[in-house]
Amino acid sequence: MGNILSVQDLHWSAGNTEILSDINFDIPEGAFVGLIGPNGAGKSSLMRCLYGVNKPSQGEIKLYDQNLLDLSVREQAKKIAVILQEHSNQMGLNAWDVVAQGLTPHKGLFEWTTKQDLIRIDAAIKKMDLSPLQQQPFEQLSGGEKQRVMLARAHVQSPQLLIMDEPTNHLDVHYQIDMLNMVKKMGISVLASIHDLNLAAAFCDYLLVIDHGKIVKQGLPKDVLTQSLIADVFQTTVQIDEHPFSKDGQEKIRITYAYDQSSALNEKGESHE
Amino acid sequence: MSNSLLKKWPLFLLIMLAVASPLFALVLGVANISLSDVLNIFCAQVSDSCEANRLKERIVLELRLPRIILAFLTGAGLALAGRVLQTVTRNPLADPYLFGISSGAMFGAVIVISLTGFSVATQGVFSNWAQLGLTGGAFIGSAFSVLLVISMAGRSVQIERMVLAGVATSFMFSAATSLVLYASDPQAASSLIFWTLGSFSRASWDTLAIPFVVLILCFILFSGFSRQLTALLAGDENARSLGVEVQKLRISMLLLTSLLTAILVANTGGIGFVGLMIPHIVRRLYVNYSRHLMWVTILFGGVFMVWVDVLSRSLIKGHELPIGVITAAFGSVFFLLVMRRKNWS
Repeated sequence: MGNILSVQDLHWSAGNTEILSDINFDIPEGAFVGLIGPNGAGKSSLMRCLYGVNKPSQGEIKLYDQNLLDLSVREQAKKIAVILQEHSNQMGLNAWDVVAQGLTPHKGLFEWTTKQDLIRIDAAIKKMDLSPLQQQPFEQLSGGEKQRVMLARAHVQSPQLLIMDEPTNHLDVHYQIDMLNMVKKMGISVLASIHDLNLAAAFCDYLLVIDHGKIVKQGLPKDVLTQSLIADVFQTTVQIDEHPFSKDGQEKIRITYAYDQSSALNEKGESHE
Repeated sequence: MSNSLLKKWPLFLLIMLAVASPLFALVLGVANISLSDVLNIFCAQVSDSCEANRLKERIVLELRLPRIILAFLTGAGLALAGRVLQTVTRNPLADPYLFGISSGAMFGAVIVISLTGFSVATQGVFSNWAQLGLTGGAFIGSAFSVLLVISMAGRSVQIERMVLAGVATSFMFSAATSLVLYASDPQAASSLIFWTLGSFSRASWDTLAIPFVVLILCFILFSGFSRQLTALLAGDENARSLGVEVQKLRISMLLLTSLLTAILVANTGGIGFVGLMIPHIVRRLYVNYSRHLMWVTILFGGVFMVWVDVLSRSLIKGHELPIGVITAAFGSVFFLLVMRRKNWS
């Protein structure tokens, strides 16, 4: 299995302040890669470099063998779809219209929607269980429904890589799991920043941990999410054990947060003595 | 009729209104002309078997018809400009006035009129050169406004900054226009003020070609870019991730709308609220016809303005009310009424 995306020695500065430095990682084809890190660590800045909003001051981003920065905005959009955490209200557009926005990079000026396109849009709507909602104004949908519309749009965009910035933000437990399962079902390579470490451990094939603008660890969730890393990066005491719903050979882990961090730290200190 | 055609009845109704409204508008006016007279006059143009009264023929073909066509083009063009501006700025309050486009065009036109002598505005019909000069002046004024607004919007063309810069630019040009009017002689100034409030009284067949061609061209271009424009509604970062070069698109659409507005202002003076109100009504009434909204907006704006013109000619007998006064009255009352409704957001 080759890599769909390779990031090498990436640096990015906002004005004179360097926000990202020495970023190196690969995304294997078909893998679900999670990006975790504390608030302000540089997750969104890194993702914005990958979908072209931030221009790196140094380094290379390769999509297969092509340098991403050499591609036009439209060519980039044919290969990479993005789902952001906040949505515009789309000024009265209904769910169907928003899903149809996925055709944008594939159509030139004066290239109208064909029957095949309509079939593609309807298939995406069905796949995301949006049929009853397709005529509803986008702004009137719930957070979870909006995310499903965005997934359907990404489906129509048919990219090689899907980038999602905190896709489970503002969603209840049901929609968090529903959303990530639907992403998995799409069967494409994914890079998603995720705050909930348990969700990241359960759904991601690989994890990248970013802190102070640097990737501090990467690998399989069970290797990355250790007590010491979580204590260092998130300043949080946790206990890690096997996930009770883990199936044979899955090696899924469960992270339990200490609700009283100060006493947990004391206990930990005492047990070390 | 098949089920899918039945579902499109609101579109057919609008097309019928767009055909019927100008016909009825031809009948309404000071001179007593019936619908059968009008049909007879049209028949006489294509067949020798029909005979029309010469005087009525002149009134219909040389006075009322060009005026109604200009009204339709103006309503259609301003509504289209408003719709595109609201889309590229994702601001439901955007219209050519908000970005200073109309006031820039008005200032440019008033400067041309004052330089070429106020007679062009007061004598009714302009010569072709005067008309071209007026259009050029209006376009330079509106383009200058747009460039000023864009230059103030920062490198990333931020919408909030654009709106604030637009309001400031609008006030600046309105003040400059008022100053020119204040400095001119009272009789010419009162004619100019009437013109700045909007009027179709100067409509003639000679003046229709430029607005018609520019409206059609803009409609074709906006339609060609409609997918990219719709993507802008998702937000700048989203639009970019959908392959849209946001800044280039926004600037080119602003320049096109400024051209369209300038042409209309040069021909009809200042007519406000249409660019703001019509796209709102269309979005509400035709919520499930998003793929047709561009031409629906044009037809709706055109039909609306034809009836506004009828009102301006007939509300006070023997006297013509300024068009801008009627559209502003309609627009303001419309918004206040609609905002009272609970479900308006």
